[in-house]
Amino acid sequence: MANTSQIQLSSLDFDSIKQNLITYLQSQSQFQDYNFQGSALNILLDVLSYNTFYNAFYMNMIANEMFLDTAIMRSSVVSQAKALGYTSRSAASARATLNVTITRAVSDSTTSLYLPRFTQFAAQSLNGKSFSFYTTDDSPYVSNVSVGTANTFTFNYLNVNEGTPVTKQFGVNNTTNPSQTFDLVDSNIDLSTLKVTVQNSLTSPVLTIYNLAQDATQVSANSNVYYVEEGSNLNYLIYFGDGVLGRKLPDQSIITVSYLVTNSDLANGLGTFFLQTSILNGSTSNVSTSSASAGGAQQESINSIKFSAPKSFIAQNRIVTKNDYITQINKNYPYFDAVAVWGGENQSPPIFGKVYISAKPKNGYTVTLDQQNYLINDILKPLSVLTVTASYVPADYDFLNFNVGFKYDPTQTNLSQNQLSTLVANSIATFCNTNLNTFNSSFAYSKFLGAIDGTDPSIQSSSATIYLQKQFYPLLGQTSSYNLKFGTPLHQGITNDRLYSSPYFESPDSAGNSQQCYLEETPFGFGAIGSITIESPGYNYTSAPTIQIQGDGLGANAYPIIVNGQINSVVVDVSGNNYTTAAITLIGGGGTGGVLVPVISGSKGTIRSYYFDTNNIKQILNPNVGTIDYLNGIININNLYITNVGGLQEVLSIFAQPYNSNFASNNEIILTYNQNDSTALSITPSMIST
Amino acid sequence: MALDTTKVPSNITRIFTDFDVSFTPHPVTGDINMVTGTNSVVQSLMNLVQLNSYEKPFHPEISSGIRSLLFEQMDSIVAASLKKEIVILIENFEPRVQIIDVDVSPDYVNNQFNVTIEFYVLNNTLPITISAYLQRVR
Repeated sequence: MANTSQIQLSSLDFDSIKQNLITYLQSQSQFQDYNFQGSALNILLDVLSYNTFYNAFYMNMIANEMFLDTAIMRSSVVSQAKALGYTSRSAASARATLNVTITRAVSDSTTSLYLPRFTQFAAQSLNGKSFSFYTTDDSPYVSNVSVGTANTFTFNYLNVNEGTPVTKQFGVNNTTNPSQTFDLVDSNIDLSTLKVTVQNSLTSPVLTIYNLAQDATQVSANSNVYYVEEGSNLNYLIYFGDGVLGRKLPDQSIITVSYLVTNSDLANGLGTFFLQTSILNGSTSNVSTSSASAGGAQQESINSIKFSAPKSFIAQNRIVTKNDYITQINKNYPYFDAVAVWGGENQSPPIFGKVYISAKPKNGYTVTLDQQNYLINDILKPLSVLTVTASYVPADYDFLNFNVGFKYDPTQTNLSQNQLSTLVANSIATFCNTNLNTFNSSFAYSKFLGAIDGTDPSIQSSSATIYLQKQFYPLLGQTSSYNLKFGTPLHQGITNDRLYSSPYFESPDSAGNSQQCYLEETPFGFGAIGSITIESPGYNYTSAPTIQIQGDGLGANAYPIIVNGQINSVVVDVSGNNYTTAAITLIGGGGTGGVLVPVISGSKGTIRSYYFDTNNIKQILNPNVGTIDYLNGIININNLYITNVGGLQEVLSIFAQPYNSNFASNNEIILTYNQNDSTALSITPSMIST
Repeated sequence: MALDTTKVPSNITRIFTDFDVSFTPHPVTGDINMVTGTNSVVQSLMNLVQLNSYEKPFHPEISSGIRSLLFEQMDSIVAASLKKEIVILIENFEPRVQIIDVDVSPDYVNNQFNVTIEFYVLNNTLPITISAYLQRVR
């Protein structure tokens, strides 16, 4: 039986607290009506229990908010992160790169021109919403260029950010605001666009630019720096030095801040821009897009702060390990689905002192040159170790193409063939989204089929042929070289399982007529020594005998490994080529009886181009466009001349089957499946025969 | 109707003791006054009938809808509803009481309901009658 003379204190909910009080009251005899809901004593217990409950909740909440792991309120998380030296990432505005040409009026004689900060450009999204983009810095001056009677000013690679410009002024008053903290009030500020200038007094002509203090160890008493931290309501506060860590602002100074308030990710993906600000009277402008708007992102979420703050603390604002790189990139540029980092020492051949970075954008496949430079020069370089240079390697995509067939039992489903096919397509998309689309991912054939079989109970069996698709942009009108790395061994195709290309490309034949051409493979007739099998290991070998390979080919070399006087294994260090027959003789080694048999196979092949003539007969255009290395999965195209890629497309694709049905990607290669490509998946359903 | 002693729960054999909700001190000891026996039950009953929803923390079900009914049209239907609410409330939450009768009658002249509750306290064979009037104050 419960000890009623001691009150239980561990309960946290109202009913338990009240029950504990009632249990305790049972030990006294003066007041007996504690159990009846209408009694005065019971109502007193209600008040007491409610008060206890309220305090318990409040204390529990305070305790939770005191730790980064359990805090729920944003202000608490931000405050905890602040103790780790971490400022939450602000909203990021979408950024585009433009080439702007301004043609001055004939009567105008301006000879040099610049675009000031907050020069406005307009763009419109597909759903009709308008966005304004602004330059965030003054551009350099450019001089006029005469083209006939026209005079133009050209601004190349001009960066513009989406948002609404805001300019505010604050007066410094050390009596009413001794901490010199100023609230920027707006939410959705892109802090990277924040500019702070200080005027010592209203009449002072000098404007001093203040910069964000990045590293307290670099700040002296006279540094013109400001600090920034998140306020309690998604806003940001700026404050200034105290005369020791940064210059203290004199009384009556005027602070001017300007920044962009952004629509963050809503303005991503816009490609057409117009100049809105009038630059020169009577001038006309032409804006072309170098890279479409990208990189817009919401203010950092609570969960992201909880995740990133401890990691940022571990890295101590330095980039040393692989994870430091990934953390810094994700923190400063939250635009990537996946980031891969590897050291040059893992390259083949090793390149020391280099770090390679590759990334996959969230809604696309290409990271623009501007983004790459920003990543390397602005984010990584200031924090990385002096002797280590980072370099960006564009992500290389293996697009997976599937020919899927499945058999289903129509008595077990009321879905039509088309409906089942749609469900299977969805399953494949889900499977690929879960397992692929990132660096160092692997494709497991059995799990892939399992995903198809698991789509619907009526599906009895399935099969799939997988092609890896490599895309490249051929240079037109010149002989060019291309190196395509599949990153996995490739299958040697002989008949209809050959490598192929799509769409057709145009190339002139020997008579100079343009033909619609395609690429295909021709393996080296299985002409290399792929391996050597041991028919008899022999005996009494005291040293390794020399292996002499005799045949109609050239260059093969191998050596045996002897264990306990017998041939234990054979290593083929050079496979040679052009072998159709081969035999092995063992020389020396002291033993007898060893019999080895060479196995001829091919590890390389050539790529050739062909077309169909007017009689629809296949004609080889160029028998050696390039080579294919099946073992390493590399295609080198070095003799390809293309005048046009079919159907006004720019991309040429090469399709090859992987050697193994289970394969993985490494380094910069990403296995991906493009759901938007209708040719990437073909499904053939069939009913089981009853 | 006599008290049905078979319905008397075994734990209701003690003397009921509660403190006086008027919080008046005892003139001699200065302690808070106590109410005992049937007085304690009557005080509890009056408290219970006047409870509104959510006045008991976390237990909105321990209440009667009396106050809202007072703002309805004054007629015999509302009087019947009031009676029903009172009976249900007492039966659910005051196990020490066995109701003999509840009478609610509208007093149109004074704009109030006259309520009479007749009941047994379960360890006492004498019936008790309490009368009150219910009137909206605003």
